[in-house]
Amino acid sequence: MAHRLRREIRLYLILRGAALRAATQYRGNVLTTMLAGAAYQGSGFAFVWVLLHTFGTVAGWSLGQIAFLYGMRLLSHALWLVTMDGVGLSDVAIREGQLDRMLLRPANPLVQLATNTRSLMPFGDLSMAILVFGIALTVADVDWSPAAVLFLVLAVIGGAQVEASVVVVIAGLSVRILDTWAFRLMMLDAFDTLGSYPLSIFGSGVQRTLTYVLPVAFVAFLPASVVLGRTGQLAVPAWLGYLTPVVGATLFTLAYLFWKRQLRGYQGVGH
Amino acid sequence: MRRALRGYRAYVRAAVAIRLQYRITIFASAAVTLLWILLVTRVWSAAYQGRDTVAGLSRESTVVYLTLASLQAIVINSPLMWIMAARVRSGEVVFDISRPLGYPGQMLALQAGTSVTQIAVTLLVVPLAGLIGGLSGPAGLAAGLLYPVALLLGWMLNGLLSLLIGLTAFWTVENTGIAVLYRFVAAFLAGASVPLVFFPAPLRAVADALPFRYIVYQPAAIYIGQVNGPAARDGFVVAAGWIVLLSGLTALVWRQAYRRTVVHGG
Repeated sequence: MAHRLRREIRLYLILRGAALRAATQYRGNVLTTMLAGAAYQGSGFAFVWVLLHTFGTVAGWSLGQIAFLYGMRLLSHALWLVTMDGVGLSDVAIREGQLDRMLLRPANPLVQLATNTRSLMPFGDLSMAILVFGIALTVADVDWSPAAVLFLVLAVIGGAQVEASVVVVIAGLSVRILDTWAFRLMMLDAFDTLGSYPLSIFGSGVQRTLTYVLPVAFVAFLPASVVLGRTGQLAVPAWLGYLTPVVGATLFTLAYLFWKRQLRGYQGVGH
Repeated sequence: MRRALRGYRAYVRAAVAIRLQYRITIFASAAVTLLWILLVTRVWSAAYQGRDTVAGLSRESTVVYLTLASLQAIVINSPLMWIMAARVRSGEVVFDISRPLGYPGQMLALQAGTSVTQIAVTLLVVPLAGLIGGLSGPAGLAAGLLYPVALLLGWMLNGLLSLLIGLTAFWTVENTGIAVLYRFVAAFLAGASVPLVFFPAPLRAVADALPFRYIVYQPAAIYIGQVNGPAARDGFVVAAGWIVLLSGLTALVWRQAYRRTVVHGG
């Protein structure tokens, strides 16, 4: 088991490295694509920054605190993008018969799908994530005990797994229904739009929906509320904030099982 | 002249037909816009808490502005730039160029067709947008009459800017990066999520010096009565000036791009 896992990880790293080398061949596009990824996320933060420049706080959150929340969400987001970007392109991989080839090779199909990308935009997201989170650390008042740091790291990984599980489930669906582009766009946009802001701006109904139905709150809002000691305004139990690492691992495992099950029914598109 | 017009009309029709093939995409982008309206109006309302008017804008006016601005910003996201790059990459651009119609004109007609579809869908979701965000009538008769004029000028500016960005494909082939960059930088500096009056002074100066603000801010600000009288008139003059300037620039860049295509050997 451990041996097989080691082999998959080694194969993953080889394939990811190859994809990266392919992407950096288009020198002129490298910089603009990374800038684009940064601008995409940066323009969202610029909105928050300008808003707080005028108003000081939003729903009791200061600029430093929102930057912390925003940075945490971006770190999770960039982490799944950098590692698994290709999963979001499952439609193309199936339509063009690339998945047929992946199924024949002696490596996990999801590993191959994850590395099947030429985009550098995730690294733009990552650089903006590091920038925003870096600024937040100098401004926000955070408890730096080893336990808190460990929780923060696990929460970022858990948040990445929550988002990745959505993409893996949709990749599983695309095995059956081929065209999932619009559905993926809407789901990822919901995380992008709602994940980075204090959800206490909404009523308790929306907060509960975004916790129990679409787990957006687990990505950053709940763990950040715990770390920043802002659990007073939550419409859901505060201890849920500590569960992000568990929720992430569980959802990702379930998503992976779903994907594997769907793959069994793969019929191809007639290549 | 009449023949050319007929040709461009056919282009507009073709673009509408292409867009209608991707109905689910249209639906998805409408849903994304509505979600954004929900978020942005709630964030602003939370920021206003307890205050009635900030920087000369009441909470209600700001919500109306944000709802309108989010709907208007839809036109900034046009497939024109991707289409142009894809046709340069595949070489199909040769067919576009060899048609007896100007290439920039063809592309603007494509953009017009795309916008026709986008505007039709936008009009359909206006009631929902009003429900999720907030809408009210224009600030007055003049505001109501000037709003469509300002919208048209903004649409022309966005069309020219998209065309210019699209033309970079003749040099770089791949233009995804710059297209995405344009979309977000333009939307932000146009005031799509923040009315420009809230910008800190240095950022405001940058936004004022660039043409993007006429795409979103100017029309929406006229509608809510934030910009009126001489300020509105001056805005129209500057926007028209930008249109003339960018048209000239487009013609110039296109001439260079055309030469490059010939050098490549078609």
